[in-house]
Amino acid sequence: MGLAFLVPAFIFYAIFQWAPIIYNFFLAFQNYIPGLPAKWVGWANFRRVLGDSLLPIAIKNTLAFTGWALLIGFVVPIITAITITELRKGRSFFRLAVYMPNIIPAIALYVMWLYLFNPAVGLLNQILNFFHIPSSEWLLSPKTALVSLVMMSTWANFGSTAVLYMASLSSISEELYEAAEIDGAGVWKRIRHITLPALKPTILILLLMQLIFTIQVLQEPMVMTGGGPNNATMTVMYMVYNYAFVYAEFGKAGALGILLFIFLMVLSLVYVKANKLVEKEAR
Amino acid sequence: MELSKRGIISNFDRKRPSVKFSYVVCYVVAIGVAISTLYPLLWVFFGSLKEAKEIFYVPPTLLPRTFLWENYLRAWQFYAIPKVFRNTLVIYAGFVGVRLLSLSAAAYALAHMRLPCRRGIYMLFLATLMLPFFAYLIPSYLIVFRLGLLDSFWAVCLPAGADSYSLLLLKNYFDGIPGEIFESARIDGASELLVLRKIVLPLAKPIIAVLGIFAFIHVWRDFVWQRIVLPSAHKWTVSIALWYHSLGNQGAVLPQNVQLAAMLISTLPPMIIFLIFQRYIIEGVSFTGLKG
Repeated sequence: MGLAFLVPAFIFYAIFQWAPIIYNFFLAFQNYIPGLPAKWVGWANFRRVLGDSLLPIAIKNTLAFTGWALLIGFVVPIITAITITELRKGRSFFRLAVYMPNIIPAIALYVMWLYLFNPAVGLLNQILNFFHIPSSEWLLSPKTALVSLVMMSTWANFGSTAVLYMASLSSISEELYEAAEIDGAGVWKRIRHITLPALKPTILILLLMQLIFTIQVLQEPMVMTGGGPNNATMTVMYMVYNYAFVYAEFGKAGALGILLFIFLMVLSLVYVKANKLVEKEAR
Repeated sequence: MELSKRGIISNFDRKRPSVKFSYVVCYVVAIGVAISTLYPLLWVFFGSLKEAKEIFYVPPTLLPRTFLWENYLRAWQFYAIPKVFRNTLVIYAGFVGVRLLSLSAAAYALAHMRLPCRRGIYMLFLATLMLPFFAYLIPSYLIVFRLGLLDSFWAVCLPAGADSYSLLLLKNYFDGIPGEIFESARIDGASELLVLRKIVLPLAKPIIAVLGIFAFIHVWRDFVWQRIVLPSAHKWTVSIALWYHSLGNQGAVLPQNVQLAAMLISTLPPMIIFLIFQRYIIEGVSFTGLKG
C-alpha cells in the first residue's frame, strides 16, 4: 500500500532525474541530431572535446569564477550576518535589505546590471569617480569581465547565505557569551572562541554548496557577455550549452556534460563525507 | 528566528568606550550593506523614468528632469506584460500542483507508512540532491523532445514532480508529526488516501506555504530551461520576454529606459510576495539550509 503512494514520485524521478543521467552516458558515445537516427562513434566525442582549444580557457575561467566567488561570496555574508545580529535596533530592516537582491528575477538582474556596468553612464563608474578612482571598462574588457560577473552574482546571492548564518548565530546560547565575559574574554576573543566555532558546521556545508553551484556557471556569461570579450567569460557549462544549442553537436555536449558530471559527483561525495564528519562532531 | 537579548556584546560592554566604538562600526557596516543593496535599485528606478536621451547624459543625472511615467505604459505594451504574466502564472499553477501531488504522497509514505527497505528508497530519491539541474540540461532537453513536450507548458511543469529538496523538507516535516494521529484514523477505518487528504495536508500547511513560495520565485526567475523548451512567442514567460526585448533579438532591443521599466515591473510580483511572506521565506531559507 505504501508503495502505491510512491508511484507518482517514482515516475517523475525516473523520467526527469534518473533517465537523463543514464541517457547522457549513451549520448556521449553517439553522433546525434534530434529527429535523425543516432550513430555510435565510440570515444570520438571525448577526443574532440578534450582537443578543443577552447576547453583549457573555459576550465581556467570556470575555476577563476569559482575561486573569486568563494573568496568574496564566502567572507561577505559571514561579516554581514555577525554585524547585523549584534544590532539592538533595526535588525529586521537590515535583514530585509540584505535579502532584497535575492528576490530579483535573474534576467531582470542582468538588465539592471548591464546598466550599472555601463562604462559611460553606469552607477559603478560614478561611484569610482566619486572616490577619484579611474573608471573601469567592467564587462567590456577581458581583464575585468569575469570579476565583474562575480561581483554581480555576489550582490545578488549573498543575502540568502547571510540569512542562513544569522539563523545559526541566533541559536548560540547567551550563557556561553555570559560565561566568557565573566572570565574576562574580550569581544574579539568571544568571536574567535565561541562565534566562529559555532558557525563552523554551517560554514563547512555552505562552502561546499557554493563550490558545486558556482562551478556550473552558465546563465550570467551566456546572457550578459556571450562568453566574451575574447572568450574571457567562456565557461565549461557554456561550452556544453553551445555544443548542443548553437552547433547542434549533442554528442559532444553529452561528452563534456559527462566529464562535468563526474567532477561534480566527486565534489558531492566530498560534501556528504564532510556532512557526516560534522554530524559526528555535533554528537 | 528568535531574537536574543544579547549578542557577542553585552549591555555592560557597551559602556566601555572601545566596545562602544566597535558597536558603532557594526551600524556603519550594516548601513553600508543596506545602501549597497538598495541604492542601485533606486538608481535603476530613476533611470526607468528618464527620457531615452537623458539616460546617456555624461555625467549622468541622478533625478530625472521630467518623470516619464509613460515608460511603464510602453514597457507594459512592448513586453506584452499581461500575456507573459498569465503564461508564467499558468505554468506556476501546474508546477506547484505536480510537485505537491507527487511529493507529498511520497513523503507521507516515507514518513508514516509501512514500506519495504524504506531507507534504501529514500536514499535513492535523495541521490540527486546535490546534482545541479544544469548537469543534465542536455539529456533532459532531448527526453522532453522525444516525449513530444517541446513548446508545451508541461515541459516546465512536469519536471517539478521530481525535486529532492522539496521531498527532504516534506519528509522532515512529516517526521515531526506524531504517528498516533494517523493510527487512530486508520483504526476508525479511514483509507490512507483519506488520511493524506483530511489529516496530513491540513497539518502540513506551513511547509506547503514555504514550498509554494519557493516554487513561485523559482518559476518567475528561471530562464535557461524555459528558453530552450518554449520557443514560440505566444508561450513566452516573463523571463523569456524580458530577455528577448532587452538582451536578445540580435541586438534590436528596446530603449534603455523602457528596459528598466520592464525590469522593475517584472520584479514587482516576487517583491510583493516577498514582503507579504518574508517571515515564511526567511524562516524557510534558514530551515532548509538551502537557497530558494
